[in-house]
Amino acid sequence: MSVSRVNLSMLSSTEGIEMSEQQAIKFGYITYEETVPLTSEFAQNLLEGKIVGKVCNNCKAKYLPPRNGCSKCFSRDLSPFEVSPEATLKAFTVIHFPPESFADKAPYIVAIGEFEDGTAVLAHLTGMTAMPQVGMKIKLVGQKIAQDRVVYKFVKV
Amino acid sequence: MDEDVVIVGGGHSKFGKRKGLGIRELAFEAVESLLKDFNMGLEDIDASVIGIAGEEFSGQGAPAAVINDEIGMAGKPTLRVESACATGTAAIKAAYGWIKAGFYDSVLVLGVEKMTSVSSARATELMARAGDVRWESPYGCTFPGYYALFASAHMKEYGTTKEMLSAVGVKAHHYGAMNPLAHLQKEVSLSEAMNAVPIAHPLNLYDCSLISDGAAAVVLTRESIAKKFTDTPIKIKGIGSGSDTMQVAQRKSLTSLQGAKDAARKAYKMAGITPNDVDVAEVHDCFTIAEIIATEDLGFFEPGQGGPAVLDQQTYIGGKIPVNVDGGLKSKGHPLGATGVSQAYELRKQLLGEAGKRQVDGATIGLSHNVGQSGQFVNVIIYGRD
Ligand SMILES: [Zn+2]
Repeated sequence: MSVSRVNLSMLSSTEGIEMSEQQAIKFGYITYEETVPLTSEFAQNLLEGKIVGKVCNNCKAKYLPPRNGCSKCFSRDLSPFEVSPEATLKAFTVIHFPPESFADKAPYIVAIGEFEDGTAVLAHLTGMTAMPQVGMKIKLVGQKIAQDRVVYKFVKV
Repeated sequence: MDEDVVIVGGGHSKFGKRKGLGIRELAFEAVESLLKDFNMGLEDIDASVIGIAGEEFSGQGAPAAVINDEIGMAGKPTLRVESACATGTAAIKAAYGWIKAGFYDSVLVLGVEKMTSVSSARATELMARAGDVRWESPYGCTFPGYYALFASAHMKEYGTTKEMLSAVGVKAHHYGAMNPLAHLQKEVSLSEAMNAVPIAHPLNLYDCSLISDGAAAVVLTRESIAKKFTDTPIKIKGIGSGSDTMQVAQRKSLTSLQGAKDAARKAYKMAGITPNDVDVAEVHDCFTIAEIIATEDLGFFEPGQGGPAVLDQQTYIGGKIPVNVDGGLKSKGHPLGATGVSQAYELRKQLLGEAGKRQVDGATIGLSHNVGQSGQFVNVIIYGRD
């Protein structure tokens, strides 16, 4: 099984480089599976500063992260919806002993933030000068970390 | 098949860093141990179920076949079962189903894992891939990390403290020190446990189970033919299972495992018992917070009372409910595929009164709680002496 790795030392040195239209943008610090259109579309929206999930037009189930079909009613008729980035910190940890692929990134904070509409994601929490507090207000932002790669992360409000 | 399914034999390899031994040698060692108090060889066993969580640790693809052959069962049907860290109990459940369906009378269940052949960083990486590789693993959350997330929520919600977490590790090592099969057989003080090197805050080294090699085996059969294998069968009285969302961020609760609560409810109902009837429990303490949450999900303590109960030694022998008195995953070790079978091995010994210094006096009902990933697979199995 091949794992493509991003060279972490190159992070944040590629701001402003134009994306080619054909290039599938990857999501996250590392890619373990083939990038599918659903993920690259999500990543492209993130590059444009938007967090976009999918809502089922049949049963109204909401998916963030997005899905291609509705797992509740199996409808394929889903529409995009944009999530407001303000969130509440539900849980966090500081990773001191990372997976092999994150060796030069530790320690880093992994957090779960819940948005006002009840959807939630797991992402890094950055910019903290003290230990985070569960319940604190945070915000999800996108960040381009390589020419073909984008991540989201929480920051303190 | 209307009669009960019983366990008529148990075997266990030494858990630990078993340098020089592959999965086949570990499996052999567990069966060799099983045959010591078995009335015969494996000639009357009809099939095997092999529990093994990953092949990237051992390098062997389709590992059930090599193990089935090594233990002299080539020619008899075999099956590999995988449910991450809940693989062992899933294998027992599969064998139970085979016997109940009438396919076979007697089935050998063997759980095994060889993990120390890779570095700890590599093992952490391989296990992290059992998170959602599309949406969560790309952020480097480790398995300790997922449980540390639960710990932060549990601490905020109930006031659970670092001392309570560490007290779980201290208990694990207290009993592990008395278990000759355990990976780490040494006592640990509360201050050592509280001040160990951080892994995923608030969890440190003494909050985390060990990366171990090992194997365990049990034989399941129909109650009416149990006597040919042993004079002392142990009954499987109830089995319940549950699951949860793949992404931990989508959970309704971060302070309990819904799959464990569902599994427990079903297992208690099938066995016709309540949590108060359980004499000894083996719970999935992959991390100290996991044991606290487990004792709450299983109904031994109210939500939020699992931590204080440990400080009060309510989970020691002599307390309200002795938990993991074999050392648990923390001290005995956690070779993924072997763990659920090891729980069955230990409970059988307890119910037969053969647990030596760690014996819970007069134990007649034992409960096994085995969790895969961070709650995506859960099996609860209740064993009884009669
Ligand atoms: Zn729908």
